[in-house]
Amino acid sequence: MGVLTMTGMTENTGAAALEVILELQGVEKAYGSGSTRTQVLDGVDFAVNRGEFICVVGPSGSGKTTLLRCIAGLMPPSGGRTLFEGDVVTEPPAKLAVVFQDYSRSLLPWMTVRRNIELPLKNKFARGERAERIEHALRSVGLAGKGDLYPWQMSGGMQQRAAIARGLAYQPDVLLMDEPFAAVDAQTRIDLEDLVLDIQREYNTTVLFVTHDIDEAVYLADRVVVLSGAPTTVSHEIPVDLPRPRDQVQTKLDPRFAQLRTRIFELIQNAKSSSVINRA
Amino acid sequence: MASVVTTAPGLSRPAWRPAVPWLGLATVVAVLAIWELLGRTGVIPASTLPPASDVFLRLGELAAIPAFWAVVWETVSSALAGLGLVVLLGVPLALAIGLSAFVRDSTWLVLEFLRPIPPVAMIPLGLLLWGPTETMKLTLITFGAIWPFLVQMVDGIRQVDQALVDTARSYRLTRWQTISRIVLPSLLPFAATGLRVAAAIALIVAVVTELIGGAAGLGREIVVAQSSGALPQMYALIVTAGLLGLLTNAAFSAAEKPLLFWHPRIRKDQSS
Ligand SMILES: Nc1ncnc2c1ncn2[C@@H]1O[C@H](COP(=O)(O)OP(=O)(O)O)[C@@H](O)[C@H]1O
Ligand SMILES: [Mg+2]
Repeated sequence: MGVLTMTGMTENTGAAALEVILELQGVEKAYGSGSTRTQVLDGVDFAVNRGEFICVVGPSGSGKTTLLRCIAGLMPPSGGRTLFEGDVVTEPPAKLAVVFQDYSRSLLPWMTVRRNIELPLKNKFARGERAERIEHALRSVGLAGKGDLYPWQMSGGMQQRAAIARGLAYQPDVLLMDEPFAAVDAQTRIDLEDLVLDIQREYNTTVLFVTHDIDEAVYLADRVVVLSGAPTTVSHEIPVDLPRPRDQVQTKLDPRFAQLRTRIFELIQNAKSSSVINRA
Repeated sequence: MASVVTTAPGLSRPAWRPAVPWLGLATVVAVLAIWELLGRTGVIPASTLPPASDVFLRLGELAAIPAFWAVVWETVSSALAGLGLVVLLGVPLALAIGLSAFVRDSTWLVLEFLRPIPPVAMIPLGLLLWGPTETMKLTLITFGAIWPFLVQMVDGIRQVDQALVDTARSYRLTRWQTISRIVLPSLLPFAATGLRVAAAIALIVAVVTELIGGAAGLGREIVVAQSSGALPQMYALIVTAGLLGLLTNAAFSAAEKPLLFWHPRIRKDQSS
């Protein structure tokens, strides 16, 4: 794609121009109709640059999954639009992959992990290339040699690794992740966070990571998008100026880390107390 | 939600497995022994229930006669043909009901009306229309056996996991890939349960239509044996019908294992 067809160029920050790969313009979503109509998203605006790691934080029920499904083209927004590489999203974009929260339900139990990863590749890559990609993805997530297991023969953490491998092998430009580690134990979660950071560096993928966990958001992100309470809009965008590579101990000991998480925590508390639901 | 809970929709089977497998067999032996004893001591006259040994002796003799197997095949083949029709009619019907709100809303009342009618109650109508023929038998078998299959399949279509459908869509699987790799495998446990119940009903309706409607098969032979006073033969035929039922169940269990190896319930059975 040429520079001229790019939709958005943010300001030149030094030498490299940032290319907007994903742009949300006033995205709205309401469920139901008539008296049961509830406005979940009320004009969400933000942009994601190529290669960026963005975390979207908001409390449970704030509409994170709804937002992600709109971005992924799984659901039409009731207002506004999403641009993916300049095109309005009306169906799931070919260069976008989603890792869902519920790993145990998004892998097909009747297929081995290898065949699970291969299925989406069939329309994209020739057989020989598929095999290579699958092995590479399995190695990247630490599942080398486990491709012939069925998902139900694996632990939760391994299943989520498999789901991530499926997303990686698909070679998307943007990887959407919906609270991917909410259901795994604390140690596995730490491992998987570092895994995702490593992978993002290796594949140079743009990641949009949805979570309700503020620490996780600050630890992972280049920028944190903070959602307001229902009906949801973007309340703040907080750049995370922590050095990379991040480290579970060093980064979290950094006073800057504490400042950022406190700030975001306060923003979310304020958003909660000013939300329509809590006032009612 | 954070779900570590594995849902296991579709496959209903007895949740228990006997801890002592031979206990069931021992009971059978005990019942046969009591039956034998009651007959030999004359507590139950042989004109009502001949001793077990007479019945099984007769069954052994019958097994050597090709005509007996021809009769068994009459019953089994109609039940199988009926099951074939159940699948042939049931799958498109279930898809239409499961996928189209219009079809569902316009058919539910008729279906709810037809469903509770026992197929036996339809025998007079079947006889009027077709006489004691294979057509009558097949129609009644299909009518009787289609309901559990239909109910299961419609249920199954409704329960195809949204997470899987989302996965299919976001990875841009083709329609055919989605149907063959996701929808059909998801429906398989429901189809298996539906068919297992349908098979039992098909066998029952087959024998009953033969018995009451006079179509060729085990049921008619039972009536013939009874009216000619050949009691050991009558009971031998009844035992045969029972064994057919057991065999059907065993056949379904055997077929389910390789097809549904991934299903939580079957996984559990194998690991325990
Ligand atoms: N399909 C749906 N129909 C109606 N309401 C829904 C639906 N999906 C989500 N909601 C509602 O929208 C709100 C946001 O849900 P969701 O996007 O899942 O939030 P989050 O992912 O942040 O927890 C919740 O109040 C939820 O009940
Ligand atoms: Mg959610």
